[in-house]
Amino acid sequence: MVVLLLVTSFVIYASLFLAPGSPDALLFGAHTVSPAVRAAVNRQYHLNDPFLQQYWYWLTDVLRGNFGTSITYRTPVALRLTAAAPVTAFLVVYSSILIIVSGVALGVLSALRPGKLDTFIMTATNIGTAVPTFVAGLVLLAFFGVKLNWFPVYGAGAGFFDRLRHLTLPAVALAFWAVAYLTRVTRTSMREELQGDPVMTARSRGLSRRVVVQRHAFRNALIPIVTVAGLQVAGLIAGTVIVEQVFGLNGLGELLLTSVQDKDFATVQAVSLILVAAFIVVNTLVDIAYTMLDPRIRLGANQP
Amino acid sequence: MSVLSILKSRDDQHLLKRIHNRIGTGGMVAGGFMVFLILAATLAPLISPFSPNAIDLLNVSSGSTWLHPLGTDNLGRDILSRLLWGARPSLLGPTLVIGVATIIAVPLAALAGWSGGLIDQIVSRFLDLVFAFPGILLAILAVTLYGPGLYPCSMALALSYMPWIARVTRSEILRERNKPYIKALEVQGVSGFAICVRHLIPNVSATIWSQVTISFGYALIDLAALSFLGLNILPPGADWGVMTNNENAVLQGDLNQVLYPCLLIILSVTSVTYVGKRLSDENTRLLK
Amino acid sequence: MTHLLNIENLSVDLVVHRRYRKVLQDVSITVERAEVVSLVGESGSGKSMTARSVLNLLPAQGKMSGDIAFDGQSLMNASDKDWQKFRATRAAMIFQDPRASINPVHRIGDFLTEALVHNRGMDRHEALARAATLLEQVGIDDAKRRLRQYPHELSGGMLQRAMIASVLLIEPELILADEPTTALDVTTQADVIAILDDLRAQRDMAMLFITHDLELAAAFSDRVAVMYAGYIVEISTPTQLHSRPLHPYTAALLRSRPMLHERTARLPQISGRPLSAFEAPPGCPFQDRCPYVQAQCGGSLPQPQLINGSVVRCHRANELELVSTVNAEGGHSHG
Repeated sequence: MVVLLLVTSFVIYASLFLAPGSPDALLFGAHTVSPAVRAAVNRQYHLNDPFLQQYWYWLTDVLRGNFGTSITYRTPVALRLTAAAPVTAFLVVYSSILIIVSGVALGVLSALRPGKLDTFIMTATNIGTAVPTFVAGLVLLAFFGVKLNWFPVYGAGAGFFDRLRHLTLPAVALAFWAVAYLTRVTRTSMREELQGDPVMTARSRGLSRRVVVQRHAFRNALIPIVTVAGLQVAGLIAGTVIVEQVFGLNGLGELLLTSVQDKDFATVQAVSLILVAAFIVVNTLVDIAYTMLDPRIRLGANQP
Repeated sequence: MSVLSILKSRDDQHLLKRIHNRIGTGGMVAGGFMVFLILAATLAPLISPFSPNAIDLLNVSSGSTWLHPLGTDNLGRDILSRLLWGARPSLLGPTLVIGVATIIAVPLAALAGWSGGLIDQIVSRFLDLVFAFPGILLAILAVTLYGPGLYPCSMALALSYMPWIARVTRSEILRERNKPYIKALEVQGVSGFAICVRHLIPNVSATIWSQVTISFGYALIDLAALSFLGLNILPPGADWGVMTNNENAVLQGDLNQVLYPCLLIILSVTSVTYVGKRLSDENTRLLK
Repeated sequence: MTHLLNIENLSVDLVVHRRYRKVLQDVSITVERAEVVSLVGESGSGKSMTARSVLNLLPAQGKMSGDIAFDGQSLMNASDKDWQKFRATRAAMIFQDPRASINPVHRIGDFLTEALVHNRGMDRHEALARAATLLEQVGIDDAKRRLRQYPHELSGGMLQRAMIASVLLIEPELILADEPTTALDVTTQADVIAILDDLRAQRDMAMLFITHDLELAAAFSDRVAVMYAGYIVEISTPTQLHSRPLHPYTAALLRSRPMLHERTARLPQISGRPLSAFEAPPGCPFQDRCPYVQAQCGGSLPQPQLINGSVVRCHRANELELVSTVNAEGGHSHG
């Protein structure tokens, strides 16, 4: 994982140099600056040094929490990050809980009760996975926010319960697609397990339905379910960009978008790094969970 | 069996009948809908009643009228025309994305799956690296460097979808590779390249097609989202995603202009995904 | 004296390719206490389904008709709870592929004890102790360590022994063994059969033994039933089977086996391929492959007849004098 983090940070940093024009042109964006300022910035950003050395400086700074200074706003990037991060974090956690609880519950229900309920859930999730997050957001905003006025439509609120209220619609919008997808995966895995040999063996031993479903069907289905759930949570990191835009939240996603428009490259780099790092961390956690659930991976197969 | 073999086989059955056997009635409806959309998009210059940017100041934010069957948006532009013209980038974009992604992914996967060993390791690590970047993030980076537009966005997305297609293809190829008929071909001295092109890839094509169609759906969603964020097609351009980027309209309850493009997006993605699922479901139809 | 297991006119329909199709037709067979009865047949003959029907383990949407009675009591209209109790105490199944059937995420100890702990409320430690004893009885050493291991750490042969142990822990009156040795190599096969034989003799258990290997069945059982296309075509004792098989299919199966003590230029084959019940033509299902077929065979289905203590379904059973070996004299039909 560490290697991956390093390499991706390198890629993000190096992408600066992919842009047409010289790096300092990108840093300055549309502003015109005097040669003296240019020289000073060059020195500060080590732009005249060899590339790898520049990367090293940047990396060590980042690890110490120094993300550089935003050219556009003349404030340390880290400051803007600490203002935006809590909102995104709250949103992602809130959404993740919604996804995992609803997705698994609906999927298991659907698998255990074939019939009308199952068909309904299947159709709903079929459509649900075709709904983009921003559409879900807009619809929720229009209906529950504007028409019914149950929830506020703008901003992230202050204090725990107020924040909960403000972030409910965004969290649901963010979770929408993921719940549909996770439900389907859960249902498919459960059904496969229910028709599989271990379940038949368990039934043949006279175990009660509850025990069979819990200890065998669900326990085995957990492996793909956890994997997918983890991927969905990781995917929220990208989705947050959209949802924050729809609901006017001042989180990391919104910060990223404004920096892109402002051509504030340092901030773009910083936010990208954080988001990608979070993505990698979540994926790694999923891998770890996977090995804990499946002893064949843990201990290595083929050891009679 | 290769998906495209439907086109090649010369049974007594009519082509449409063979397709119907493969994807079912639902698949025909979904597929037909997509064909209709593609036609509409292609013929947009001919059939669109108005230019997508033409402003009709007398009819701002109107509902359905004879002149404007689907109404106008809050700048007075005809929604139907914008939908028709907007279909072009909305459908072209995902096609570009998966086209490029597949052209890179399949040979890469074949190379990794066939060679094994160090090459496989290197390719897999490379795929892991690309995997670490969520598509939208990659697109944002691309836009930062190259400015907004269809090409930076679709190329970035193509790169981010490539590992998905590559991974699935690679595992299927690994499975096929160990089958006796491949070993037999090897023993006969057929080159690795020839085996991949003439045998391995056609035999995993069903999986590739299903992954491609599902990815098409996701790419459509992602590109629309990018338009919504102002990174892909920019106003005043017409594109289903950009048409939804009108917060004010929604907040004021003027939903038409946002509703129709959303609907089209959802319907297109559902259709394509449905056809994809039917294509990959080899057991749906008995070939009688 | 009631039969331990009495299957009468059992028919089973399953959903195949989206339609209901017959898989078992009018199957009737009995198993007495402490008796071993084998069901022999090729793929698609319905032998596995018969065993699964006894425990009501058909795939979802499967339909059974006819009667299955255990110890005099019919099971056909039993409630779910009754079936559970039946499976937990009186009959148990050994499955073909232990690697597929034993849940890979739980330890062997869990696999062996879960029935005892959950069904009978036994204390876990006591259950584990019993399990260890049984593992040793089936020939697995170092039982305590094995109990803590996972299935993928054991070889196929050991897993199958563990499977047998799990059945014995229940102490059932009837064991259903679904091709228990098919997934194993030949030497392990012999071991496992030996274990089954020993334990069965010690504990007086009845067994319904499913296999495709006619010779194995003949060596191991008290009675052999041959199945084809969902029907039972012959039920006989091993001696009678060898000296005078009654059904052309049985004879052909016996003849097509290579023998150590005989030489032959070419092994006889049965032309065609084995059918499932729903693929069979009207009349006798074997007609398209039978060397003795006549017009009447395409007409009505042959009903079971009793000849010399054996049961056979063949229109021409009384006429044919079949032999089980290639080089014997005679063996041709009269007329």
